Amino acid sequence: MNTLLSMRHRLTAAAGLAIVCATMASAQVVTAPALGTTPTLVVPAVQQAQLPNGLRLMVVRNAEVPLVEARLIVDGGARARGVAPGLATFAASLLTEGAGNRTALQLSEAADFIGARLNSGAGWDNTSLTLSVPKRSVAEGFALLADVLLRPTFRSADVKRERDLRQAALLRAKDSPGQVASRVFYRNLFPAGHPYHVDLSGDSASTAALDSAAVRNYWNRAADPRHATLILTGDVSLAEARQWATSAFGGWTPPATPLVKAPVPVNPAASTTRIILVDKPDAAQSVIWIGAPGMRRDSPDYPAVTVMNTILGGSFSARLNDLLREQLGYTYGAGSGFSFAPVPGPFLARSDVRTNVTDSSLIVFFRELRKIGTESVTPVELDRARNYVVLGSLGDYETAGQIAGALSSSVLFGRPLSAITQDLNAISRVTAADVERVARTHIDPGHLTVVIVGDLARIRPGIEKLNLGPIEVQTY
Amino acid sequence: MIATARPGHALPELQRAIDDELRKLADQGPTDRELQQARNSIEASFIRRIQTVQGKADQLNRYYYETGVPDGFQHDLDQLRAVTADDIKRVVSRYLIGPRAIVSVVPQGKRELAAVRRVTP
Repeated sequence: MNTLLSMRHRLTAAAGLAIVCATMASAQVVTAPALGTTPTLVVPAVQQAQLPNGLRLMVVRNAEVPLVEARLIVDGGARARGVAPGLATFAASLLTEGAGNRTALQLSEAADFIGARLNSGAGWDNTSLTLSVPKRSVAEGFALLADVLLRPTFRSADVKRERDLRQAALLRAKDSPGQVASRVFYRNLFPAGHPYHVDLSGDSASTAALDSAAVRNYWNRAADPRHATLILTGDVSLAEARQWATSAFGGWTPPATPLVKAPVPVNPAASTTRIILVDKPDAAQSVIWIGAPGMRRDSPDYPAVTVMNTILGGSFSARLNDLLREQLGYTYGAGSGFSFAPVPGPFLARSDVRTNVTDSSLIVFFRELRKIGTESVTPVELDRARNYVVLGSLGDYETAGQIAGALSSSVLFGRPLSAITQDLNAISRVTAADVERVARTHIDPGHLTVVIVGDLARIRPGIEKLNLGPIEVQTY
Repeated sequence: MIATARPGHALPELQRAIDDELRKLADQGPTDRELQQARNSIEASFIRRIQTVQGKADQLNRYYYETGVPDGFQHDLDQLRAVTADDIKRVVSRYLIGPRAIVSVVPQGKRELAAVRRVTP
């Protein structure tokens, strides 16, 4: 349940529907059916098995539509020991750029032909390959998945093309105030040596060093069946899962020198709130990122923090968006969230605001970040937030892809899927006193890292007057 | 149809490539594999959409709104499966070849990079 700025814009969809209905001239007026009792989420049962080579299987069956979702998660990822910055995501992107006897174009044509989607990606903790395929074409789909996992070609021409594309993206990032804010924020919040200090995609120097040999060497070490899980959801039984997995991945053997986990340095909050400014002359908007190192997913405060953040900035009607967007009109959106990962991610509150209200926006942010920990939330806010999370969860486990995503989180955090029910029960019991307490514990306005990218000539004097903390100017 | 030129290429080049491809499709039709791929993708997209309650509601609403038959999918699917290469040739000739609007977005003052009224006679 990564709630970082994941506002649900349900209003837009509802408005679109209303327009369609209004134009139905022949529609009859009928009485709306009475609402039944509130349903509760039934977390599906997970079946598990393991292949002789160590590959774990997790299966959740839902045969309502003839679709199968396969997600192959290989532990390791960008924060494994000795992995160069940007290498894990680069290798993952190359897996689908040529494998077996197919080029990138042929791979995507083969997937298209059977109506399948085949994607690869990497994060800090793992690499994942995702296949969504109609049941009737599972065999062809799994053949592609196995090629991509076990027989990627990493041709130097493909590596060069992807490297050029990444360098171009890194150049574009320097032009994007949001990307600059992100990189400066992480660079300052997490010390050198911490995985989050450098972006997942690395930088131009690390990208220049990427070649076919580096990618192949990394992937040969990373692809270890003993540290991999194949998640299968949708129209699939455990027996089918075992059969498909055995024929596609039964011959997958462990690497000679597998990747190992790297220790994670501790990361204390800033000793004082610091303001870091990045100049973007003539910018019409200022990008504001305010954050702290965050908290662990396995903290007992997780349910209360979820409710607290929903009230503060985790939903459309949350305080930050209601004030900065709805009431003041300073921005198109404002929000906050805790990023949960095995290595705690940041707490982050952010918004892009009009240049001439940058200081006013900071006043609102700091007032709200303080207030949530010093004044009780109202019963209406508390109810709304608990309902938002608990009732909203009913729509979070409908599709094969959503269930596969939930399973991959459960693998990542080592928690059974059934723990979702415990979380939701705990969330529905959170009190106003809990909210206030965890806000005070996890959001300390005196120890925040603030990054503002904007037109410094216009915004700096106003920011200085606020006396939020020491100010420094950085470049990116 | 939307195409963006890389630096060093002008829009008439892209326009010619698009025109050639459309003409080829109108004259020769798709291959069997292309036709099957299109059918497979459309069917797969449909089953992906109806996984959710909202997807099912949208689908019922859309069929009701457009055809008056909320569960018109089977009819649609039957028609889709019956499409032939000749049908494709016919609709490409009728709807995609001939008079059309072309919008070119070019750097200020570089009108020579814009698409032209007609590149193939």
